[in-house]
Amino acid sequence: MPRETFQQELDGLISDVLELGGEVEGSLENMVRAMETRDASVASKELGVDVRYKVRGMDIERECMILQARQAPVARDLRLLYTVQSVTNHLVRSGTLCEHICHAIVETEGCERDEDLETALIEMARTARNVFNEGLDVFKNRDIDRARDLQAKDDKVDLLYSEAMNLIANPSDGKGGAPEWRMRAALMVHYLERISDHGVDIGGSAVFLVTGERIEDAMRQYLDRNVDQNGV
Amino acid sequence: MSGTSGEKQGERPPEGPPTLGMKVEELTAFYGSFKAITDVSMEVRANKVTALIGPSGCGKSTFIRCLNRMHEVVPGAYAEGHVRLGERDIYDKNTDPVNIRRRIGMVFQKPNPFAKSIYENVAWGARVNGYRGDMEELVERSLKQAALWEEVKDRLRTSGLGLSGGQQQRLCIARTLAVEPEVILMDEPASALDPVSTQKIEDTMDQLKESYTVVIVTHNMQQAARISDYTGFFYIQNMGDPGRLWEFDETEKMFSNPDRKETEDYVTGRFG
Amino acid sequence: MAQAGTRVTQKGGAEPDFKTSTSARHWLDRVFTGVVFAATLVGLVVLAVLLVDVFRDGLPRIDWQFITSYPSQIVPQTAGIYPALIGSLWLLGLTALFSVPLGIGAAIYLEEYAPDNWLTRVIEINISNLAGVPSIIYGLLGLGIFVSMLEPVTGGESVLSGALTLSLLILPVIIVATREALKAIPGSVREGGIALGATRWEVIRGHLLPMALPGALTGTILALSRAIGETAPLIVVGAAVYLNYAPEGPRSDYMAIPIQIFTWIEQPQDVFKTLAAAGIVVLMIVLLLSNSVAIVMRNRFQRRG
Repeated sequence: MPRETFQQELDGLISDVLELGGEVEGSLENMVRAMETRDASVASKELGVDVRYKVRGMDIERECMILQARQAPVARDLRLLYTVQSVTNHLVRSGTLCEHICHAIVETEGCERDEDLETALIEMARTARNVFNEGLDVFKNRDIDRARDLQAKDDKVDLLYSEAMNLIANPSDGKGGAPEWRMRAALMVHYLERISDHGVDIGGSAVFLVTGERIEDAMRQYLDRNVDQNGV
Repeated sequence: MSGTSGEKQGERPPEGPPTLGMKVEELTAFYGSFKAITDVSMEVRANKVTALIGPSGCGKSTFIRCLNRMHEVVPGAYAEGHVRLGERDIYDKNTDPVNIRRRIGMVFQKPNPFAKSIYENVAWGARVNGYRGDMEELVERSLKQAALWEEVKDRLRTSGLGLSGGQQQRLCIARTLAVEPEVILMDEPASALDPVSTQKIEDTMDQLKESYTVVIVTHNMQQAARISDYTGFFYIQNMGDPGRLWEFDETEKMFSNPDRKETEDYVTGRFG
Repeated sequence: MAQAGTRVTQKGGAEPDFKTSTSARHWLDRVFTGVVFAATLVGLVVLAVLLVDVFRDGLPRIDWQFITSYPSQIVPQTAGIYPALIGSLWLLGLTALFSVPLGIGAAIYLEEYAPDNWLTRVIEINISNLAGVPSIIYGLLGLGIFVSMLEPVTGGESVLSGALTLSLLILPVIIVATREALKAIPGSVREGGIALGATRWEVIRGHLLPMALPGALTGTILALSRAIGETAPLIVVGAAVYLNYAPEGPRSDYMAIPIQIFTWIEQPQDVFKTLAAAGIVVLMIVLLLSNSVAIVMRNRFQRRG
């Protein structure tokens, strides 16, 4: 088959990305478990993992640049390289955010918590992890139909986000938990929302890879219609 | 007095009429009983570069030769369909093919300057077509448009065959420009040249499209991607079939996200 | 089975697959070079011997008187070659006048205009064959057409008839030489001209003819040289064996140098042999001069390009 070496290099690139993705998924899994069980030792496993992820991300980016220089890719090969760089970026950012959350879990071990807020946080973490896994799966299988469903799941995270922000702004009297914990909780809310966004974007990039169109352009029509209906 | 006419590369005198484009309608071309291309329709937009790509034997060269009726010079070859330059069909019975070839010029793959002086190479075509203006000025202007003037202005009376390959090709471009065509057809103009000469030819093409319509056949996909505004992909499904225009679109689309699988396989080099 | 890219020969100590002894091959090479060289020498040596012999006998006999006198059986000492010389020059001029335009024109038609069908191929084959027809056949043809049938026009056994006959004789050679010269011009020249909006004739006149002219002229030189030396056809169409005047016009009687040489050789006396040798030398000088003129013309066309 023509360009066999090039095809092998592309395949190797994708498997590198998926491998990185799997590791980030593992980190997210630990993060969720640490939150559910209040077990800081699980979270401490992820401390410093972002350094490793960044290095891996740079390796992949360098590989992309070399392929670009040597092989002059066009059409689907070009879209693939572009997508790989985009997805890698999302993976590295998600891994870093996960590490920050695990750091916060370790720092607040034993602190007094707001029960409602903690529940919301755990729910958000689970959903964000699911969205992320789903997005990575969509990318792996190039299943662009599921990419649209991801947007819907992200809406759920946005709702949880609003709820959590509300709880942060308005603590129930006496049950607010230690201020240290509340501060960290606020950060975690933001981080989790962004992890979910990264997951959605990873799934969306699969759409670009396969069709050459951005999912936003297809979604824009839908969103514009929504705005008109609400009359805002 | 001829001499410095202040012409930039590619510019023709500002008072010229607007450049014409071409429209091809269901063109089918034969060599005797063998059908080389079938049902090709495309729009060649004025003042743009249109590139034609595709595997060997798909009819790109046959097609481009139909655009200035060079195809029928081969004994037994003929074409059916319509090719319009502006409004007029060049295959109309009342149209003189000799006149068409002045208005639609061609540059060939292997540079083929005449065995005459550089001056005569450029002037001969114009003279034969009855040019009544200042010949020296025309020669200088044409050589400037072809980005060759500076290199040859002191040796216009020496033989054209003494130039390098890249210079010879630019000389061929100059002599084509001297008969003041509307459209310039190029059949793999740089494939026999080194990279530096190729770059010079590509730069020239970029300037030429300001005043002319350009169609180029090329095997070099990066070249097509670099210099063209529109790209047409020719393809044959089975051996012995006539070639078809498989996809035609803006170059950006053809090289980032073509519609058809065969086009994408070809531009990514996965043909085979 | 070897895969693409693997080495064909074995490495490391084993005998390679090729013969190592090369002295036999070189020896054969040298022998062959010697053989072809000898073949060339044979031709040259024979020619040299002939020329030396003729020039030794003939050159001393040539003087202004020889060139300007009339031949004589009775007084060979004052015989000259004048009428034959002028006759040959007339023949040369008229033959060139007819055969060159006709030959080049026919070649242009066959090469550039004629359609690729059976008729054209028949014509081509026959022209090649005509080049090999014995010259005396052309003489008979000339006798029938130019001397008898066209007598009112040509004046019968005139230098015009002789020139026309010779033209027919050398026409095929000129046509073939010109065609080869045209064939040698790559198609890209024609394409380049046509692509500029020129008609076929404009391309021929502007490019093909100038480019083919050197080759065509070379063929013409060879053909005319042959014509000057022809004897048999001229005898048939009535060249005189003795005249005491030179031709005054195309319809006039005439002599030719080869015939004059032939007449002299027929005489047994030695003095006539010397005359014959002198005649041969004159013929060769005429040949040389006419060839030189043609070569100069060819070079001028080649340079002008």
